Amino acid sequence: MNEKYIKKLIRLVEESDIESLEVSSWGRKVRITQRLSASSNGSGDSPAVLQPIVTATSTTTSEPAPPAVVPPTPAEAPPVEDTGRQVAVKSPMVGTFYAAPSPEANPYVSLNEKITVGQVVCIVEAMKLMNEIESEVSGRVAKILVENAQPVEFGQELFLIDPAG
Amino acid sequence: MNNSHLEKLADTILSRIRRRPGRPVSIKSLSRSLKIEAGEIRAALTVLKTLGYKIRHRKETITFVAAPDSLIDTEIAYQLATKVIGRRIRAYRSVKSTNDIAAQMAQGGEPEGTIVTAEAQTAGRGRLGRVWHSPAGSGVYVSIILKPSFKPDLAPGLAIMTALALAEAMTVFTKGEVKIKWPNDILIGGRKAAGILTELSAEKNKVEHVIVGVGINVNHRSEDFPAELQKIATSLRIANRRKASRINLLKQFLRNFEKEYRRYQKGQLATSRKRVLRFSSLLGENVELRFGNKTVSGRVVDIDATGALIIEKDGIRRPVTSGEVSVVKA
Repeated sequence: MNEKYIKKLIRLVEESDIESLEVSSWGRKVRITQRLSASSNGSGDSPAVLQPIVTATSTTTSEPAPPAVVPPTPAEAPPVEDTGRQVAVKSPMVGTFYAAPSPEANPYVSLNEKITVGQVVCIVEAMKLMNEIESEVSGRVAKILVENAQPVEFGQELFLIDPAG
Repeated sequence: MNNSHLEKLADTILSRIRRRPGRPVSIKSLSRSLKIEAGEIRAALTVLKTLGYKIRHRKETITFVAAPDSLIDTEIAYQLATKVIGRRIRAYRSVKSTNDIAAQMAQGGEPEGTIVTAEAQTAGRGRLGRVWHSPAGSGVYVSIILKPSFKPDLAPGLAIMTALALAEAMTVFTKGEVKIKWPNDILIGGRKAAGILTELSAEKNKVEHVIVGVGINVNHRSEDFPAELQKIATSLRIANRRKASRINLLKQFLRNFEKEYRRYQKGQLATSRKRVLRFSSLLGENVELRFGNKTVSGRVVDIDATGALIIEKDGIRRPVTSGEVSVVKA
């Protein structure tokens, strides 16, 4: 547990809003705590200041402690499931998602269907402008993330396509 | 008119004789200056008459009387005076959908501004595949190819921009009350007289093309509409109790469109918003917007520069971009 590593831990804590972090490695333990000293809804006289406090202790046990896992910052939160190989089809604009070209028609694609690159997978509509959304990859429709006639945001994921299919 | 030698000749003769409407032009001098036989002139005149041009044909002279109120490319281009919109024209008598043809052309590299027109549509579409009624010779059906450099999220506002250009053009041809029903219908006296269908083709964060399709009821009689539409649809002819010029209306619209499109590319509806509001049938109304199984309600207080409808409820304003609008009567 060198200085560089501890500094890195401090930075991790500073950048997050967790109060304390304890890491033990090979019999050495370090705990970093920070006071989230001010709140923005207070009197407003002081901005939020983060003050990391480092307390390092040496344990006497010879038994090596298992390496602890550093909790990830929220931005680095892992996906709920393994979607590493799946490609998301995203909405290019704010609008309403339509799965089919008309209320009576069949949906453009259904779950587990094999699709090809450039195939229309849905419509996103705003101000009656019909935006036919195409898949950028060939593969299998692994997940449909929105319902018909649901409002969607810019950049929102609509489908997950598994290129390995 | 295009391609064939005879049609080109007909175009040339037409441009000569229409310079001075009502004034006879000597066939002899025409044949001399164009270096063609009198027989060819006669053949070309037959072409023009078939297209609906009224031409007085005497032994020695021909006289231009009137152009037909038809959506033929020569007539659309005649004194159109736009720079981009309508620079190239593909005019059809009857097609399934001008939007579909325009989209195909756009995909094949057709430049911005090209228009596709038709006298009638056999499969004209409204929103989500609803059929738009379009009998022969009474309406104006036009689709405009756009290839803007802005991002796809700015494309929806084009519907509002188009509605403004169309409403102002229609106002020239009727004393009836022309209104924009957000986002894509034009009403006269509360009944639908025109509709707009914009379609976007985009890839990632880039617009490939936008097709702006417009259908206008010009010379429909009430009985031209199916029974279920007669109470909700109208035309310029029904409103004015006389026919209107389809070709002049189309040209007026194209000129307005070019101006508004130039403004829109600079700052969306920033400079046109006030005129949009003046035409809006929903301003100040309590409305309900349904999309899917969700409903949003409130009072319409504004339309912003992106074209979104601003709804106020309990003092909170929110923009709305989708939904079927209905006015709630208090």
